[in-house]
Amino acid sequence: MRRHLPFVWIVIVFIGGIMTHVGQIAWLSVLAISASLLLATAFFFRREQKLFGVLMLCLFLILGWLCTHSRWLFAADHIYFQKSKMDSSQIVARGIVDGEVRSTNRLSFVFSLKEIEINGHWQRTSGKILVNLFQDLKVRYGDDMVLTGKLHAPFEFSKSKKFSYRKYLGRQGIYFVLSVKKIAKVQILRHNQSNPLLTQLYTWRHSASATLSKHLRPYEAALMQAMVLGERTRIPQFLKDIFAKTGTAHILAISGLNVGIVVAVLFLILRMLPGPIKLTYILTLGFVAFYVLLTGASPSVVRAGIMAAVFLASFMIERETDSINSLAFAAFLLLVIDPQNFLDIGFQLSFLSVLAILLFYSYFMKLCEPFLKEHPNIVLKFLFESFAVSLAATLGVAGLIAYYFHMVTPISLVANIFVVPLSTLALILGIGMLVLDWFAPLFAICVRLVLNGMVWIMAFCQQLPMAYIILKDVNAWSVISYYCFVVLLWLFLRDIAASAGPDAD
Amino acid sequence: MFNLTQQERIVLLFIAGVILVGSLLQIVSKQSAGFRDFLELTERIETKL
Repeated sequence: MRRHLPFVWIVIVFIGGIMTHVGQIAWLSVLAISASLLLATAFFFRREQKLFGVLMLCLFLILGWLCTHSRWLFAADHIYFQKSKMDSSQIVARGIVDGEVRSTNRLSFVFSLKEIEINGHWQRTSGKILVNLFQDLKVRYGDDMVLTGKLHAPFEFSKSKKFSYRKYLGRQGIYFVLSVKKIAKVQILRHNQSNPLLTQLYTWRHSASATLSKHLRPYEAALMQAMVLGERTRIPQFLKDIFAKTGTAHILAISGLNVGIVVAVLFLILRMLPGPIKLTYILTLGFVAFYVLLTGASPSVVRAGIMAAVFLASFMIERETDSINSLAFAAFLLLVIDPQNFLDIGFQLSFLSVLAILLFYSYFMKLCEPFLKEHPNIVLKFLFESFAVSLAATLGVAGLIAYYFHMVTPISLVANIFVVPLSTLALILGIGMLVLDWFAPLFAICVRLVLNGMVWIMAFCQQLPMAYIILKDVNAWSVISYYCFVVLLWLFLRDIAASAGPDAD
Repeated sequence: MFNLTQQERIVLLFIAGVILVGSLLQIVSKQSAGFRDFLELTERIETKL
């Protein structure tokens, strides 16, 4: 006879409720156990297609929580806890310079803490801080230093409520800034206390930057340093404004486009050499890793590198992969590395632009097909293709740009048609200038021609009527409505393409 | 949605296992000393300073 035990189930669920209310740690235990059980169950039912799918979805939902939570904790000796023990904001800290040293009117670098002095005693400390050092010293990556200064929370510079400098630094694990004055005590104890490979890469980066400065005018060098090496600090404000107002600021950062160009050029060069194609892919992948490190491995460059590596790897394993799946895998990888990437504006913009290009480009070209068949012309085809890419990317990012930067840039549709090929040319010439040192003056002349032409065209575009529209404020609901419209447009175009022919995708 | 081969399913399970173990190890290694609430943290620091 089947037993009637409703209260057994009720008490189990009730205990579950009590445990979840005890606190975050209880939540953690419940979720960790659930994830382990789901993993085991999914392994057991791996032959049941539907059940396996549902179990894996539930599992990855919990893993997203656990992964974020694991980054959300401070170690017991983190500067956050040490800070609460301090009586004053004036501190003496020992640590290692953990990144490139940027020099403007001060030296600025990330400092990985080892110890801080609290009430006359040195205590082991972990965590990273940003140091602003107002002294004329030769500080390099890997230097072991003792610094005396004032520790404070980062200041908010942006007037926009939607961008917080504090949160931006927080996403990189930096919550405090140490300001070291001109007269403060600074000691460099030892050099080269970090990764020797990175030390060498920073040296190369520094010499590449110097080569660009030597052969080009200051603003031209600043543009090339941004495009080739990812150093954006020296770009004059008027140039930043021109590129922002024409919706082409993406070329000033090392984005997927820049990494893609570098990878494509290298791949074509390597293909000319004898050897199996797999070796070419492996060498190109190796170069992507090198380039990411050389350019300072900032989050945007790492993102572009991972995207390029995922696409290259999918070609290498000779598997017919869906580009959207490769893009999703790249996003997944980046989110596992750091779940806070999801909140990064650059992450959102780059993935949405690539996704929009993948979704819309083929449909736009399908619409142009009858016209292009009637007028077979390579230049016309190139212009249509460039416009289709530009339109798709603009559709993808316009909502977010309006939300974050209070601006719509209709001129970007035209500006990108010019700026993308010109920046590609400048990038190739710039790399040529760095690699073939003997011919650097010759390359420099070409680079200057291309860069000045590009800036002139952008300045002209910016002055056109309705080139950019400043918006007062855009709320989240407007952005959601816009993206609903974009989805409807995509469904509409898909239907048109499907009725036009079976080879639409 | 999950139209995968047996080999791919094993790879997916392996990835999930690595993320699970990695996250739990990281949580344990940090000794669960506290939770970081960035806004609350900066407010407290500013008040203290």
